[in-house]
Amino acid sequence: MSAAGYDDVDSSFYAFEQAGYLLRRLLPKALSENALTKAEVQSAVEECAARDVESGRGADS
Amino acid sequence: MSVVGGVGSRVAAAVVGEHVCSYEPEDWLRAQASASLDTAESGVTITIETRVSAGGHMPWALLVGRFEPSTSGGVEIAVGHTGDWSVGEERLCQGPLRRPLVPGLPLEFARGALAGLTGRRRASAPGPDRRERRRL
Repeated sequence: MSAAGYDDVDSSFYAFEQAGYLLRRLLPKALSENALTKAEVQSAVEECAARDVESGRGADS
Repeated sequence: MSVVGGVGSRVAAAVVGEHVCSYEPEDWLRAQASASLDTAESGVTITIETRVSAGGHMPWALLVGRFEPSTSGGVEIAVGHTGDWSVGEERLCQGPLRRPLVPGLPLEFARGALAGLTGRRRASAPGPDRRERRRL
């Protein structure tokens, strides 16, 4: 990976952890279909949010 | 074309095939991950941009991942980083959510990306977090 972008004031370790998680989660679908649907992205985001709730992190991390 | 999803204060956009915000890595973080991707025969590029709005902060992150199939088995993850993080860098690129961003990936953020990509979540982030850094 050598392409990425950040906000020099508003970015964080956790924001990139979340983006990495979503990338990993969506990769198999993108590989098999060479496209992603709104439902797939929505499901991944919801799973990511649930994962944070389970870990007690919440959105404000 | 980007696909956007969101829940609560989280928004994420994903694009297959586009490549934005390239940079020259200073060094690489590497890890092995287990994955059932052995049916993949061709490469794919995915761009993910996230925004979380909470507590007066709105952290952004943009990652572009390129998957290349190989015959070695397993998945090797390589994340290039750009060293130390600093304020005031020029925002020269945009992802699917259209926020001007700095192309690059400081080491702290690269560690976060690697943790997410491998699923090896840390109990806490290494080093001071963004809010603590502001006080330094």
